Formats: sequence, C-alpha cells, structure tokens
Amino acid sequence: MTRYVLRRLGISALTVLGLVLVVFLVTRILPGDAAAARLGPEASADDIAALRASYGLDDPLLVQLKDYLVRLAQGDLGQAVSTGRDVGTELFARLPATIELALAALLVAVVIGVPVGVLAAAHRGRTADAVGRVYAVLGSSMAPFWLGLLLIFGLFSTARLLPGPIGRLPVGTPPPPDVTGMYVLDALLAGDPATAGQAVRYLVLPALTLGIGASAAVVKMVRSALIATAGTGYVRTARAFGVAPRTVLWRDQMRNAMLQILTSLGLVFSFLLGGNVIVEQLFSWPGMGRLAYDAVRANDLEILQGYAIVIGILYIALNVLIDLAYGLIDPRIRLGGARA
Amino acid sequence: MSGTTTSPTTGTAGTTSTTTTAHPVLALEGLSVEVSRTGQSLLRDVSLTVAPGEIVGLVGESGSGKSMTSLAVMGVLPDGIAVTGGRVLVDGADATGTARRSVAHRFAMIFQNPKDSLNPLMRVGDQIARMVRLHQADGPGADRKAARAEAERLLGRVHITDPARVARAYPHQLSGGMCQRVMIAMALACRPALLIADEPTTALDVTVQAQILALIAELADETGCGVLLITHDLGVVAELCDRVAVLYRGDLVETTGVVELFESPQHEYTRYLVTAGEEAGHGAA
Repeated sequence: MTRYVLRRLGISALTVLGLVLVVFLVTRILPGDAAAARLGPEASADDIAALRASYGLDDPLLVQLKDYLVRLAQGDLGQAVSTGRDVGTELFARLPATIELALAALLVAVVIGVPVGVLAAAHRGRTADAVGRVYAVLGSSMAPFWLGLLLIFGLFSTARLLPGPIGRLPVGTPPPPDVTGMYVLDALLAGDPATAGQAVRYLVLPALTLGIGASAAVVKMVRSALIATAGTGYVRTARAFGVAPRTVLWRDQMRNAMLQILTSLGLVFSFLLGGNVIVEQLFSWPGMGRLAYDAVRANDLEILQGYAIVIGILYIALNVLIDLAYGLIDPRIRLGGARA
Repeated sequence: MSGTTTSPTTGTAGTTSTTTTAHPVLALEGLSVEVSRTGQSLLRDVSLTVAPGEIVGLVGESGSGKSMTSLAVMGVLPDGIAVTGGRVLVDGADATGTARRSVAHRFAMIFQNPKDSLNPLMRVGDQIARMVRLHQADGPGADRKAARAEAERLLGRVHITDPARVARAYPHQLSGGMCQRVMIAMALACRPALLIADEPTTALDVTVQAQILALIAELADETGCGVLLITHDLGVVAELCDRVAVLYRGDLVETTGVVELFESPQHEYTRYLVTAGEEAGHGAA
C-alpha cells in the first residue's frame, strides 16, 4: 500500500508540473500584450517597453519559465494586471466560498442521484427505471442558468421560502470568525447556529441549481455501474445461495460498484468546482468562478493563469484522494497480487 | 417421473435416513424453458431425478441447455427467460415458480469460474460465514463468532491445510483450485440436499481437477447430498457419476447408468459423444 501511495503522489507531482507548463505556455503564446493592456491605448512605446522589462517579458522564454517556477514554488501567483493586487491572495480568499458551494451541490447530487440510480437499476426495464432515465435526461439537458432562474422565481419571488440571489449572508449580517472560510462550518464552530442557519438558507438555491444538473449524471452512472455488476459471477453466486435480493444489491453490487461510482463522483465534483462560473454570477456568490468571470471581462491573464493553476491542482489533489480511497475499498489494490 | 406417492417430508433437517427411502431430492417433470419475447425454446420436456447421495451427470455440448437446466432448478434464470412448462420437485414438493426462495435452502451450487464466483471485496472466510449465518441460523449461524469458527471448520473440511490463514485471504490471493474449495465450503455451509456443480473443474489444471472431483465424491458420500454434475467432459462423468443424462439441443435424449453409457449408448448423439471422447483421449495420449 505504501508503494501505491508513493506512486500516486509521484505521478500527481509530475501532473502538476505538466499543468503549470501548459498554462505558462498558453498564456505566453496567446496574442495580446499584458503591458500594453495595462497602460491603455494612450501609453507611449517607451512606457510599454519599460513595463515589459520590469515584468521580465523581454527575457528568453526559458528564463521567464524559470522565474515563473521559482515564484510559483514560493506560492507567488503574480499580480493582477487589472487591479494590481496579489493573485494568490485574491484567489484563496474566494476559494472557500467555491468549495462550500461545490460541496453543497455534491450533497444534493448524491442525495438525489444515488437513490434514484439504485431504484432504476433494481427495477431495470420497469417504471422506476423509466422515471429515473427521464429524470437523467431532463436534469442533464437543463441549462444551469435557466434552472437557477426558475428556482429563484419559484422559491424566492413567488413562494418566499428562500432568500434571493444576493450572496452568502443577509446584508448586515457579519460573517462568522474565519476558520475554514466556509460560512456554515465556521458559524457552527463558533457556536452560532442562527448564522449557520442563515448561511444554509442562502446556500440552498445555488446548491440546488448546480446539484440537480450533477444529480442527472450521478443517476446515470450509479445505474450503469450497478447494472454492470448484476451480471457478475459473485452476484449469481449470492442469488443462487439464497441471499435476499436487497442484500445482494447493497452488500455485493453496491460495494463493488462503489469503485466506479467514486471515480465518477470525483469527476462530478471537479466539474462543480470549476464549472460554476455562471451560477456564481447568477447568485452573486463571491467565489473563484466570479473572479475568473471578472478577469475575462478585464482581460486579466494573470488572474486567469492563477485560476487555471489552482483549479488544476484541486483536480489533481482530488484524484489522488480518490485513488487512495480505492486502495481502502479494494483489497486487490491494497494488498497487490501477494499470495496469502 | 417418479415421486407422486406419499406426502412430502418437510423440514426434517439432518435425518438423512428417512430421505433415502422417500423422495428424490430433485425431480424435474417435463420441464420446458423458453425465451419470453421470441418464444425460442431452450429446453423441452426434460425429466430427471437425483436421489440422495447419488451423483448424476448432465452432459451435452455447449448450447445444449445444461446450464439453463441448472439455473432453472436454482430459480435464477436470466431476465427474459422463463419456465413455460413442467415442474421442479424438491423432496417431492412442487417448487416451480413462487415457492423458489424456500428451495434455495435445500440447494447449493458451484460454478465454472470459482474466482469470479466469489466477491472480490470480501475475505473468503466472511463469505462462508455469511452463508452459515443465512442457512444455519438455528446453529452456529446465530452468532457472528460461531459462524466464523464454523467457516474455518468448513475450510478444513475441504482439505485446506491452514484454514485460519485462508479464511483471512481475499479471492485474488488464492489459486483457482483453492477458490473452488472455498466455493465447496460455502456450499457445505448451506447443508444442501442437492449440490449442483456446473462445469466445476473446466477452468482448473488437470491435477487440481482430479482433487476437486475426489472432494465432491467424498462429500456426497459423507453428507448424503445428491449431486447434479454438469459437464461436457465424459472423462469426468466416467470417474464420478452413477447415472448420466444426455442433453442435445434442449432435448433429453438419453438417461442411463454410467457403465451402459460407454458400453451401449442408445441415442445417435450419445454414440457420437462417446466416440468423440475416445478419439480425443487417444489423441491426447
């Protein structure tokens, strides 16, 4: 198992390096001059050249790459061209809001998607299966911004059940003391259930908007993973030996399908982390997606570059966690081929 | 087509002496199986009995309906395939269709690919203990620890030399032959009246094959459990079986004693099987 862990970590370190290289090259190859963009249309050629020199943009590519890697290793993601602020600080200040939303959406996706997927697989070809499949098609073909608007219209404007799309807490409510940056968790840690309740209420609509779309994917993959295990020898054995179908479904099929389901949940979570730019915008959610959206509008490549790297590293870290979880679930990975 | 005389003996576990005289553990009466949608016939009017302690071979080429017969008996036919005629009698009682779940307690089954037949995520000892808990709830299955101890005892019973160690192993750590022994131990945990062995040695090495066959014969003898041995290998039949039934394209063409099968095969297809087996035997030697 130790070897497996070390191997996974080694591979992911290489992947991060590759990611940084790609992001670096893409931003250098893209047309456009960051210095000219910052100084505006009226700047003189001399001023632009001076700024270019001060950013090291005139150096050979390899020297630039070396400088970039050294700064990155020190945790320095550079300065935002449009605001002059530190990119790393900006991104990490917004990371917790994004993670909180992504986790809540994942919860929605799992709570809806797993039972529906299991029911569909257990009643394959019958009504429950048809309902599950229709839900999967509808859920995945509904554009998030449209679903978000519908939810805002129904649950806020009409029913007044939930707060409107104005961010993470009501205006005037101070955020809880910063521990993780996730308001619900921090408020609970600070022993402030009232604020935690508020934070949850503000979280529900954006989490539903993101989570319902993701739940459609979860339904599909739970269903297909379970159906794939239905034809296996060990399921046949369990059935032939008189194990109750429900027990076979949960103890034999579900446990074996978990390997595949975990992988897919990792993909879904990655998507929820990086794919929520529109939803954050719609709900005024102060996460990284919104920062990236603003950066695109301001032509700020430094922020986008930092965003791409942070999201990429999150993806990779997530995949390492999933691989490690595999090892815990599957003895074939944990123990290797060693004979007992 | 026997077994219509007295009332079925129900729930007399352990008293093997009474069952030897009463009913065959398994009787198929005119069993027919079809694909539901197309009406394609897979088995036609198959009648067959297995007495306690008897080893009956069911032979035929692939696609002849051997495995379909065993799945129909176990009540685990694939979706879309159904019994359309005839009856399955267990200890003389009708067990076709709905009464299926109660029948599972009387039968156990082992398969061609022992490794695939075990859950890869569970220790083999736990998998056996699970069957002990399910099928011996009145005995060692009532208690988790006792079930584990019983699982180890059963591993010893199938001649595994270090049961405690093997009980802790996962299927991927064991050889095919070991996995088949584990499957047989699992079958014993059900205290079956009938063991269905579907090509139990086909995936194994020749030397291991002989050991597994000897084990099956030994256990049938000791427990008085009937065995329905499904195989395409007449060598296996000659070694192990008391009687043989020959399936050909869904029809049962001949049921006979094992000696008669080789000495005077009646049906044309049986003669073909026997000569083909002899030629293959000469070819290999």
